[in-house]
Amino acid sequence: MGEVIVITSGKGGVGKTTTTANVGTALSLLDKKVLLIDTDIGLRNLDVVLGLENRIVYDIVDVVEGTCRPNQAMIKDKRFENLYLIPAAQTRDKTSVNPEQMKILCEELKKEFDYIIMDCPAGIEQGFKNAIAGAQRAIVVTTPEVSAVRDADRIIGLLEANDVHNVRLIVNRLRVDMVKKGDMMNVDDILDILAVGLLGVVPDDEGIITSTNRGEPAVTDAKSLAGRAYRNIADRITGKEVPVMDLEKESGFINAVKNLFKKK
Amino acid sequence: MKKEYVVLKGARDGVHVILSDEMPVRLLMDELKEKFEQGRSFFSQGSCHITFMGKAFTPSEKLKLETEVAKTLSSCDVTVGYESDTVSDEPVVYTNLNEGYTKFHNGTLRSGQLLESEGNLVVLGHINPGAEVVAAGNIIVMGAAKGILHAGCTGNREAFIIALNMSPTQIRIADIITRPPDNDVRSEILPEKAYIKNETIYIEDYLTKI
Repeated sequence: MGEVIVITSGKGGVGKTTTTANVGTALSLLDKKVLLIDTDIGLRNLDVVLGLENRIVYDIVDVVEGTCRPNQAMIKDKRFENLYLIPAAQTRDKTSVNPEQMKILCEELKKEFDYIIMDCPAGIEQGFKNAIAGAQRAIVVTTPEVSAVRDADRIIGLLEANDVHNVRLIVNRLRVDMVKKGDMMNVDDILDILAVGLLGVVPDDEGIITSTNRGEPAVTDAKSLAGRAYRNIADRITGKEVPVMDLEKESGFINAVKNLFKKK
Repeated sequence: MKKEYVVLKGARDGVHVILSDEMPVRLLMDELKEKFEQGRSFFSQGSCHITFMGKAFTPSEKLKLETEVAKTLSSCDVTVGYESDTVSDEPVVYTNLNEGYTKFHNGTLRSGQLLESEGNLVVLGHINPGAEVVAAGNIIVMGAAKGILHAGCTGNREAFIIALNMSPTQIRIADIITRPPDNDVRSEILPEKAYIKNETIYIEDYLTKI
């Protein structure tokens, strides 16, 4: 029996979709059977980030309305054996699906997969309610900004009110140099405010932009620091104990190497 | 509660028997028989027309249903018909490709927009990625076609698509779906035509073929 995990944030643009793509891919590389469901109906992105846009025939609305079977809507990722995607509909809106239908769908699909990861839309309206309906676990993504943390706090409250109690936090796009100078909130500040368990910290990484544009998740890049952070997060989801990377040391080392080359 | 796959309904033109399309007809025969048994006193009151509906029936299914009616309601004055005889659920294949209804759309279609036409379709603008155009007939795009294009959507495999810049996410003609190769690099952009040949969608340079 699998587990349904919703990835949410409240605020837009903090990296929910990128996190879903990378964590999902990393889990599938750990030999888990993973299904990603894009619940952002009308503004779908997950298919683009995974590079699967041109394979879409059926979507989540077709599944819910009974136009096709769930298996027909699943896009199998050629590159990763165990990774499947059910895309969102683009020409419909969030009201095409209701939480009750999502719950039934999740119950059914749980039998087939180890992990079902829901990519939640920004906001707290119908789309959010659909995404969390069938979830047992939630991963809240935030960036080290006051506005994102404020929204994350609101989301954690809403998740608890909807009986999702297993909530963990990912701090995304952390910049060690700014934290050091005191220009950016550090992870401990955020944890003090939100008071939830930390699932991982992902450093700000330009490589993420190129990898999402190319449709290739960063976890496949052995050199990417962010990719490594996502792999660690996937390990922690499966229950393995992995220490949080010392970003200061890592990025310090990388910068040192870079500087070395620059001098030449 | 047990799910009912056979539902009887009184209507102005007689009795409608709605069969669920989730189950093959042969598995519904027992339930149908039971329903007829229950209503025998009703059916024997006078003449009655029974219309089977809920799905499209094959000739062998029709025969099965008619035999069942003749057997169970042998003493009653009933006639049998099918909904699909009068109004078909299946959309009729659109064949009017050369003349007939054509919709013109002025302007660019953006992500999330869906444009449909019961006949042919001409788009005077671009079709951006994430937008979808669906036509029963041909599609002509006077611009860049980057979204999903579906011509001959009711099943006409003769339908074609022409675009000044053919870079779609996906092309569908009738029931055939294709997508461009993953590393599609072209040196120059020319008008192209997509059509079906040997069950496959071909895309070729349009200008040199006329």
